[in-house]
Order: sequence, then structure tokens, then C-alpha cells
Amino acid sequence: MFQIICPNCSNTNLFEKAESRPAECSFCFTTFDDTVVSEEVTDESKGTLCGLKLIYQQNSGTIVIDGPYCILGRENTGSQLLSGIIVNGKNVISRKHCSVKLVDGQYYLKDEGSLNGTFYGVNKIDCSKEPQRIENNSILFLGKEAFLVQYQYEESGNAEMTGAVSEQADAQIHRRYKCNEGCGFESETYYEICPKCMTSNSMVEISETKKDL
Amino acid sequence: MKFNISGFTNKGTGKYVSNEDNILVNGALINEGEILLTENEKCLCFVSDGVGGNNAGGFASAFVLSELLKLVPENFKDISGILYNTNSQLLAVSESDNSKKGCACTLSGMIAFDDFVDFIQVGDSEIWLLRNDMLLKISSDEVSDENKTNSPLINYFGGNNNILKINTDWVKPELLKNDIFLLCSDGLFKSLNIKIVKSILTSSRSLYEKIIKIKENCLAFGSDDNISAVAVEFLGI
Repeated sequence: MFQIICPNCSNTNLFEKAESRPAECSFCFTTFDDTVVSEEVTDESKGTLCGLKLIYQQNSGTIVIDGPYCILGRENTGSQLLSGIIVNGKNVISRKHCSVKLVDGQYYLKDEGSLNGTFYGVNKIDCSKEPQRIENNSILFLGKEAFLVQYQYEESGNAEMTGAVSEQADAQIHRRYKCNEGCGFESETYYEICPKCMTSNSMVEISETKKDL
Repeated sequence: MKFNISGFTNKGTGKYVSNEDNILVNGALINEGEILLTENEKCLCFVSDGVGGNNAGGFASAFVLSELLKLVPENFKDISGILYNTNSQLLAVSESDNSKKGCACTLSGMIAFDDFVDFIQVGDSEIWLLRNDMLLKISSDEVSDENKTNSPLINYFGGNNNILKINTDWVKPELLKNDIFLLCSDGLFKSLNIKIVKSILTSSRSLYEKIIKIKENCLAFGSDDNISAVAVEFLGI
């Protein structure tokens, strides 16, 4: 498996063989010329989940979360980016807005009593009542501000995992997803938009087994 | 003149249970769905956005476009007069029916036939032009403060304190081959950023694929507002 991260919208474009490299981004149709680098993605190169990257969709600013737990907010993790998000002259991100926690090899998102709320996914599930599991390449909203979430993996072999990651490594869940809109595309990665037929919200989970690392 | 035209209107993923936007594309009035027309010699396209905070916004946008449906080439040049007349009729209906009291809508439109070209904009519905790899907004939002989101409209059809003014003074571009004009409700750019819309419109895909991709991406990111867009590609004379 290979991937190209779109330089325009940060979408991860996956493809099976080097010779089937896509000519354009499946999300925004940006043309991939020779300067856009593709990289091979294997289970070995993927390594161990060690954090998250949040990409702010308005200006492509990023927040990297590299531990098992953190609080996001204007006076917490991501403060530099989050304190600069001002709408109608007001900060829309709270000082302590939401938290991200690693549990059983999965990151969960929870609102921490913010003024404008924290919502997960296309359907904007409210995270104030119970934590929502964060999937790779999904969207979350702090108030109305959209962030793309990408998993970060540590290189295998030199992985010195933080406590919670290490404790959960043996029990990491191996999931597969399939497009239920007829094209049948299958992947270990969940996509908001099927990379093959470009239908949104069509990916459904088809299996869940323990994976030996 | 020849045009490819494609458009969609959708209620979005937010609070709205119905779509208060409507689009009119060369005689087809659409409340929810998509359209593609190829190599048409006429362009009579409008996007109307029912004002959500008011009563019966969807009725207002459908009413205005229903009147514009009756437009024929002979009266294209009197579009301002027709729009003022349409507004008077909308006010009469809304005043006589409590369920429609205060209903209001905005409008953006493009008319092109033979050598006649005109653009219409009322309120915060938008008109964009893609030319030479640049995506430019050629309309201006008629709101009290353009730098604020959800700023009150200062020009609209219907409403309680009606103040419709059809602006005929703004600079309207001449058509150049391969121009793409994008008429849209304000919901579109609340959901997608300009960079992504521009990237889609400049791609080598067909106009229909582009407009469907814009819709899919709006829904993927989530759209609190109704979203509508009509893309008009000028193929030349």
C-alpha cells in the first residue's frame, strides 16, 4: 500500500501499487505532479500508534498530540493555534475546551465544559455527554471550527512508547472497513469519503479482531 | 453563446429539516437534487436562499424563482423591473397569510442569451468567477458587516421592513471562453474553504463531476446551513 498526503487539503490518498499512483487528490482534485511525493505504507512502516495530528481546515495549521492524554484549549495543548481562532472578534475556543485520551489503543474525544461545544464526525455527535472514539482521517469540530484528525505512528523497532500506549499494545484492535455503496472497497483505514467511489459516509466496519504486534 | 451548466441544492447536515434554498436552471426549478445541461445556448440560472430566521424562507425562495421561471428573452433587459414586481407580489402574499408573514430570501443569478449578459445579486447569495486559475468573488455581500458571520442582511426580497434594491451599478465581467461562474448560497463557503473549491473547479473533471464533488465535500465536512451551487461554464460563441 502507498499513500500521498495531498499538499492542498491534507487528505490521505491510498493506492495499492506504485504504478497505480493517482493523478489527483480524491478529495479536492488537486493534480499530483512529480514534486508530490508518495510513500509506501506497510504494517512495519506504520509502526505503533503514538499520537494524533489535528489539521485546522481554515489555514492548515496543525496541533500534534504525542501522549496518552491531553487537554486542548487556548491555555492548554494547541494554545498557539487555538487562541488565534477568532470569530466576530471573540475567541470561540475555550481555555480548556476538550480532552483527548488513549484507551485500549484508541483515542477518545470528550468535551470539557467548553462554551461552544465539541462535536465528532460528519454527523456532529456531541462529545459533552460521553467520549467519542476518534477514527483515523475523521473530522472533529471545536465549536464550528473543523479539524481533520490523522493518527501518528512511531517507527517500529525504535518505538519507546508512552505508558498507556505500551500497556495497550498487546491488545491493539485490528479493524477493517468496507464501502457499502456497491464499490466494495476495503481498507484498514476508515475514510469519511470512500477513496474508490468517492461516496461520503459509506464505510462500515466489517471485522474486529485482536492483532498481534 | 454556449454553456455547460450544472448545479445542486441540498438541505445540508445541520438543523434544517427541509431545504429553504431553491435553484432555477434554464426552466428547471429544483428544491433538492442535481442538474446537468450541456451545450445550452441560453443561460438563465438563479440561486435563492430562504432566510432561515424568518417565517417560510423556503416559500419565499420558491416564490421568487417561480416568477423568474416566466422570464422570456424579450424581457431579459427589464429584469430589474420584474424583480421589483416579484417582490411586491411576495409582500402581498406574506401580508395576507400569517403563516408566511415576514418571509424573505436572497438571490444570485446569471442571464446570458445572444449578446446579452447580466448578473443579479440581492443579499448574501454569492457569484464567483474562475478565470486563469484564479477564483474571484465578483459579488459583494449585502450585509451590515461583511467581516462578521451571520451579520444582518441589508437587502432582500420580502421581509418585515422591506428595502429591496436591485443594484445595476456593480462591475460585471465580460465572458471569456472557459470562464466558470459559480452562483451559490452563503452555506457553501461556510462549509468548504476557497482553496478546496478552487482546486475542484480547476481540475480536468467534467462540470457535473466538479459540482457533485463540491456537494459531497460539503456534506462530508458537515453543513449547518442549506447549500446550493450552480456552475456555468462558458464554452464560447
